Amino acid sequence: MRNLSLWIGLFLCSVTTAVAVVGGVWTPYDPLRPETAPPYSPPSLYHPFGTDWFGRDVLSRVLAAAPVGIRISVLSVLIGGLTGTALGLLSGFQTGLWGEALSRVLDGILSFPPLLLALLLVTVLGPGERSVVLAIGLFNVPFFGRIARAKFLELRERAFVEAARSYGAGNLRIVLTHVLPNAAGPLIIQATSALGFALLSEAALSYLGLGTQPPNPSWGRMLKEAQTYFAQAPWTVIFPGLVLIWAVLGFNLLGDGLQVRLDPKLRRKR
Amino acid sequence: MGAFFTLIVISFVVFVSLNVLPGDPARLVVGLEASPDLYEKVRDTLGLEQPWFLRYSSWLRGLFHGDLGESLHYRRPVGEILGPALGISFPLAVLSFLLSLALAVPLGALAARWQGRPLDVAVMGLSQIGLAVPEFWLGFVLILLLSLKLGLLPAGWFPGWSRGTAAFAYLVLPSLSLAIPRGAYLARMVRGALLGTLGEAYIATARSKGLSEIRVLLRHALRPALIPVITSAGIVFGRLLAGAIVVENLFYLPGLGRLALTAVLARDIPLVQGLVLVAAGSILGVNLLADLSYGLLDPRIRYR
Repeated sequence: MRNLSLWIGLFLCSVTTAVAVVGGVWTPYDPLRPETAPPYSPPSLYHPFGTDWFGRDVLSRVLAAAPVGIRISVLSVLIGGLTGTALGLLSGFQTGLWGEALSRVLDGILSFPPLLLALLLVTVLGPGERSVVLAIGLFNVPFFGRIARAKFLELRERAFVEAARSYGAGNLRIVLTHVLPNAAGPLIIQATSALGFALLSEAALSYLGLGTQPPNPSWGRMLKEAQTYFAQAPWTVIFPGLVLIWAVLGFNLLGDGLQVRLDPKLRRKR
Repeated sequence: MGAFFTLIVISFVVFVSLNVLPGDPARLVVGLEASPDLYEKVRDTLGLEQPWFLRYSSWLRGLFHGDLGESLHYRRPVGEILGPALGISFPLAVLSFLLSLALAVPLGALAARWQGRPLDVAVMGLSQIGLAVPEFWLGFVLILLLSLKLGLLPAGWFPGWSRGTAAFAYLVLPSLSLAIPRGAYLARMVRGALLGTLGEAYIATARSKGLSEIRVLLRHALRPALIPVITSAGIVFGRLLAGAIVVENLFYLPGLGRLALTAVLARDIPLVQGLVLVAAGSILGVNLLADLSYGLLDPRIRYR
């Protein structure tokens, strides 16, 4: 029980997952139905999170937004993670000019404000869920690329890889059976924390009106819609934000906890 | 030199991607209802008849003469638009950066000094929450509490620098909402780096000389520990300049971030190009400054 981050993170993440599953199949009201109560009703027994400008139930919308947010972040981290890992390994193989150029491109992506990059990409591809997934995926690429490349360069010199090579194992075989299993730990840790950042980025893009399109609910979009009258109806802002913070905190803590768990050096220090 | 080359490559990629992909700047300028005659005239005056590589090369030629071209949306030179926006975004970035350091250094140092104790757990827990909070939600909450409930600070908008230092009050809430997540991040960096240096032999030497704990912590442990922190802080600052898109929109600050959203939505290619140059250029510049500061902090890596 020493690893507090891991256990709290696991707890928060399981609740988030449960919320996303419930939100996918059932909500107390139809999240799109207006006038379930007068507009801007404060929180009550029937509407625990109150209602918004159209009299839509905020709790139902928060629940319905959960699977969308989780889907976008999982997909984008998956796309970014797989691409980044592949490119990182590739740039490790190609020690010459191409490898150098590839790692330069990855560094180039890294030296950009992530949101500006996403903004450019979403404009080019048009707003919507698909573009947001690609944009968030893109700025995940260099992080995974760096880890994969470093691991590959480190392991290439090790005796067991040399032994495998002396048996005639090709590059692909070495990567699949020796490098990837050894790189899995750091990559999984990176993926977990990246999920939290992806959720935050999705919320920011939706807040700017570039992500999930109305009338569909999304945590960031709800904050944008609440902006005009949030002083009169703070619940329309507070609750979606708190749920978002819960979900992000869960992923971040889980990532930290996994790092302590999987990295023996860190474990001994504690 | 490498940095300059990177800038040119970035500008080329942005230019091409905005040109090749759908979306017509002239259509956005005149609107959907305009007559074909007017549309053609606007296309012509904007220079959109030329192929993209000619427009890019003339843009590049202008750049070497310090001319960033004319905005398609505002119909004014890009330099004239960027100037005042920078006049808001730069002070905002500096203020948020200083605030985040003011949060991060003492908190990180306290956590490292009492590692594993309740204080450390509390600071680290708070920093985890700070990292998870979206900056625009923080902005909402700060407006609700400090501006609407207590009436301490203005809730948004910017009166212009003609008001003098009074205008600074309008930057406090935005920079707070930017500073808290970044401070949380940097506090973790400070703590981690300090834990590294506190284990060094020269710290034991300093303690055995009988120096006070605070002197050991601040003078002997913190200074070298700041080096990796400055690398991250440099990245944070560079990204703040054009990365405050969401917060500038929330607080109606006419800075670079708000301009970026307008420019991108209007497909105002020259303006986007100018913004990208400022953003990427500032990040590269800050990295350079960070590199130079290492020598000041650690005599072992002084440059010759």
